[in-house]
Amino acid sequence: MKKIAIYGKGGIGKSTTTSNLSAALSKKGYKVMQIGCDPKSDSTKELMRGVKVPTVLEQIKKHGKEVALKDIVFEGYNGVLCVEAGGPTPGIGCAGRGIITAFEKLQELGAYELFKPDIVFYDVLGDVVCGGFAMPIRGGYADHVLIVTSGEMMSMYAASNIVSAIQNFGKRGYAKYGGLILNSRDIENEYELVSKLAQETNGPIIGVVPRDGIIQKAELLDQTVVEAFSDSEMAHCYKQLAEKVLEVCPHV
Amino acid sequence: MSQLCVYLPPFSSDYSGVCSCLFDLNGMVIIHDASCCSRNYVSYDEPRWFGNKRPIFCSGLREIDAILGDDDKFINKVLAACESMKPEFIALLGSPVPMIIGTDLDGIAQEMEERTGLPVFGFNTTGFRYYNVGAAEAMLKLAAFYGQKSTQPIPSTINILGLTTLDFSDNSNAADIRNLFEENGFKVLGNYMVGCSLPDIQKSAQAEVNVVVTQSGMPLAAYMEKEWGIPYVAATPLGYSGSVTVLRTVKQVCADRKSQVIHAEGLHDGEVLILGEQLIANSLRNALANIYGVKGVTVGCLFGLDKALAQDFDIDIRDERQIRDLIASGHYRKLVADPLLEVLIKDRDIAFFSLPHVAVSSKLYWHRYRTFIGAEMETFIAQIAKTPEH
Ligand SMILES: Nc1ncnc2c1ncn2[C@@H]1O[C@H](COP(=O)(O)OP(=O)(O)O)[C@@H](O)[C@H]1O
Ligand SMILES: [Mg+2]
Repeated sequence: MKKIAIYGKGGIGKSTTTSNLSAALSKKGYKVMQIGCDPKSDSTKELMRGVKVPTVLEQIKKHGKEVALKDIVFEGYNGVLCVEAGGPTPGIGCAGRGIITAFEKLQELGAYELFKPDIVFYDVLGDVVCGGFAMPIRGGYADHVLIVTSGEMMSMYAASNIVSAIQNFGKRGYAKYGGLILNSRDIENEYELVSKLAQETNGPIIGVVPRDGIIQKAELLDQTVVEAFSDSEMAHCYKQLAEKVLEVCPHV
Repeated sequence: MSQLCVYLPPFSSDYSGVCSCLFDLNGMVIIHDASCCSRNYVSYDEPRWFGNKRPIFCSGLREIDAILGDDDKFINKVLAACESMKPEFIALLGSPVPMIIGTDLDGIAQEMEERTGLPVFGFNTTGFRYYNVGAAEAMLKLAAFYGQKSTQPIPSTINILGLTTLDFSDNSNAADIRNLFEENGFKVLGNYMVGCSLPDIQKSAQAEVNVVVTQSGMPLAAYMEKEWGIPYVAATPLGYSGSVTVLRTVKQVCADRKSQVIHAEGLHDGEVLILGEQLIANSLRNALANIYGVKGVTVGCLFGLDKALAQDFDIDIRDERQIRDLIASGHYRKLVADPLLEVLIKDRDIAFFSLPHVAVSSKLYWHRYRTFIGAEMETFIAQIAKTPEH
């Protein structure tokens, strides 16, 4: 099982990228599980034909101790297993703690043993790395961390914070930093800016995704590009990125 | 509000279970808390303090540490204490605040291990789970780390799993249970946990059979069966005849190598309700059924229900209200439980039999604890069976 966390600033394109990776890998025959770790809870909607699945936290609230895997794991496009951790009502509660609770529940219910996915993606909000949002990179969860960024300052700033969080955990033998995915925003000198970040953080740019309106077209269909426009250049780009992800994230 | 307790105190929680298990070892135990949980253990959950000194520390967690997640401060304090204490291992225990903010005790343990060269065990205890969960985790971590399977099982050797003072207090119970086996041709290799030592734990991997005496020993029993092929017998020796049954079953399991949970035949949901630790309650039920033919006995598990040990009519008790409802149902004529539960009977016509449990009533009755093996328990069992229903 390869367990990969995809981090990045809010709105940078983590869920779009991750869902397309999941779709592409499922087409290659892998069993993929995608776990959204963002209170926005929209990580998997393009894999679920626009349906927002009930979140782990909602289901815990509803079913209490009786919550079962069938209440929180849903099969989406091409058999991809979709999970949303969920989060509190905006403005109150504790989102970080929410991620911890959701993770503990998945573990407790034996989700990984039962579904035996080949690849698990954690799609994690990375603006704030408090204890909760660092959960996916801690022992037993992800083995590799990839960061989605554009050349915009705020997104690179978030990326560099995430790298320091990973390095803080260095002595604990946790997830390794695997590199950056450049999701283009078409700003000037974007590749150079991100290359510099790559150098500073000591991780490669493992792929470049162009900015393309086809994403929005697929979104209107409630699908990933890989599903909706499987022969497009963009779909091809995600497939290539998927290959690369497998390569930089070896089995551990 | 269903979890509100009006009459009962909170039962001992997971960090007390871990501390209790580590008491006899030369480790340094640190509870990461603001000195509330550590005080709980020190003042209420440990009957062995008198005449004993043990290195149990509190990290003195403060609000600002919680907000900033200052792990380094905690780590440095522990390293400093370690210099002067020279422990054989370190155990780091969580409490409610670290749990809420997601302090990564396993991770901190790993980091500290690297810096001290000592084994460091991280326990994600929360204070929200019962003592037996912590005790189970402590036993498992010690066995998995120190246990060394090197030879074939040594004939006629056993380990005792789940022997804690939170269940058996600090009277002769632990020694009596050990002696029962020693006097009947078995050598006890691993005492989990009263009376244990690290060399014992190392050797325990060579035992022929495990005897599980409380439900907290079950996870370790399952682990040892899987990893080291040691089958287990799950039952607490009680009185005379109950002890004989356990001995006989242990001998049988030595021969056929098949794990057994001892259950009497033909049990049904009945007039006797035993509320307490599941395995001790089970064993009491077996004695009632086998010796006195009292087969209508229901076990209400105060500390969680392990399905592997239960009859289908046994009850997982979640709160005080549920106990009051059970009593009010009129279904039960006799209640066996810690004396603190007697008030819940109110004006109902139910005979009460007192079986103190440290994890329920702390020090209130720990000097009036029952002796599990021998005449006293035998008389107690007879009394339950023979008292006419009101
Ligand atoms: N490569 C891209 N080209 C065009 N639009 C994109 C691209 N990547 C993401 N988007 C758009 O950006 C929006 C935010 O992306 P999303 O994946 O939801 O971000 P995140 O999960 O990081 O919060 C999406 O609605 C999507 O339409
Ligand atoms: Mg998202």
